[in-house]
Amino acid sequence: MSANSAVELAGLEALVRSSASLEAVGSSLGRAGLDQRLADVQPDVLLQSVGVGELERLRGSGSQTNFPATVVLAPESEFKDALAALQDSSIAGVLPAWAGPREIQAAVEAAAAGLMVVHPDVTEHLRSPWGADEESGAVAAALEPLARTPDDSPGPRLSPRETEILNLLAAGLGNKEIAWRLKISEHTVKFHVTSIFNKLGASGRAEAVAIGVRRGLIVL
Amino acid sequence: MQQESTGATTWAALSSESASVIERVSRAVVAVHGRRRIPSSGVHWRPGIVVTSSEALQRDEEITVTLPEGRSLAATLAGRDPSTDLAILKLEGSQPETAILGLPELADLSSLKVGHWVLVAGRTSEGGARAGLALVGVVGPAWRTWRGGTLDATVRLDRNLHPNFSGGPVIDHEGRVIGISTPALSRYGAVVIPAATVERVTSELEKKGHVGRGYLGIGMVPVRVPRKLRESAKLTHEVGLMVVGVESDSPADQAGVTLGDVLLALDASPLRDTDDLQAHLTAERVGKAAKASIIRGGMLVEVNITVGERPI
Repeated sequence: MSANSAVELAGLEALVRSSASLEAVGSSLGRAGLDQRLADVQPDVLLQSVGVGELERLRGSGSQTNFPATVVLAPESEFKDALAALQDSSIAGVLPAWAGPREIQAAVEAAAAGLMVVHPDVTEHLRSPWGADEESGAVAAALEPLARTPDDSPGPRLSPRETEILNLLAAGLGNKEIAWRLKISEHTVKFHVTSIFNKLGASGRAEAVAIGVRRGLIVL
Repeated sequence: MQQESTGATTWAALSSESASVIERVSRAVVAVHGRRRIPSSGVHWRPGIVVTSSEALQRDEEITVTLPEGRSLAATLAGRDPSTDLAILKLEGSQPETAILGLPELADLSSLKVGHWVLVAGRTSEGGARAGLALVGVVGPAWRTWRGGTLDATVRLDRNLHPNFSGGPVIDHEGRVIGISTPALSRYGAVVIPAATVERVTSELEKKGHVGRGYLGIGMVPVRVPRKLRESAKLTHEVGLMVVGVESDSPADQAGVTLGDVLLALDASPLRDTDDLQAHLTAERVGKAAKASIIRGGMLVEVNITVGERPI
């Protein structure tokens, strides 16, 4: 668990400890030292409470791409950036700061299973006239096509990391080798591979490679 | 009575024959301990070199092999080619120890037919021989695996095999080795990596530790060439590969290939699909110039690209 204030962190800790299916393996107060703590403890999921402006600063810096699957608890101002980060980083779940214990538990379990979770309050905010703008509308729309798309439609774009991993899959590397080469956890690799399959509408590696080559995603 | 006893003799003869083929070929078969639980098998292909399935070899270090008669030897991974699912191991052991290992007699695949019986051999972790029986299910021409490797012929067995057999030899009815069996590369029925492919890849791996592959550095999408353009540029090609990405400093970049170029042919062979381009990028072509016929800005141009080596 990670948070920016001692009170928030204590709240998260209590929540996790009272849950039957979750096991707390570590805590980190503030952003500094979080990377090291994660490397030491190697949790399945990071439950992170983010503050105002935090995600915008993180976005594009690539600093959270090597994290385990992360469920963020975000204030309303961060919803747009959190959803955008869903496709590019290790963020697997976006909950509002006011999410309840059962919702948090469900989100953490889903993230551990390699799924993505979005609380309806988060997307609700984007659909309202006051919260929506062109970019967030596109982000909300981008959440739709995780279902299969027909082969000749372009479908959602792969993130740079996903494209990189797809090229390594095409070379025949397995999850373990990819993790070693990119210096990320095998869990993160599996997470990206699942996302790649969903976005390409593929049911396996061979199919993903066949589709990827013909979309110009795999460099020959 | 006469008929019955002839029948019994034939049956006994078949059984005794298959046992002796297994016994003979197994002298070249080792167990390979490169993963948890069930070991795979490997074939002593050249003196001191064991060939096995790359996918079944799940670790790179602390690999041991079990020889006929049960002795264990350490082995080092000398190279992998995931595209053909082959890996080679160098045996660490003095001559007398490896001397008990035989070498396989290789089959010529041209007489192989669908429906022929084959035997498969493996070695258990205790060092005993393991035997299996299968039919040749499918026979066909050379094919490219989804990982970009080329197998010299298509040979598939009629069924899947016990995991211990992975990397072990597949033996024809003359007692010669057709190739190595692997569960990888396909879903139904074991795939046989032909002996010719094993020979080729083993030589490459012995020399370089990996198999080179040609590389241009472009991402492409198959497109249809518009009729007007075909007429004005006097082309017979109906489809081409449009460049949607060029890696900086890649061979294609250095040759001036740019976004929007449509590749029609390489060295006069038409490119109808990305497969056609991949077929061209063999290890032999690395370092050689390839003449690309390209539509650029509505005009046909020819660009020489020096094929590079796939970075891995």
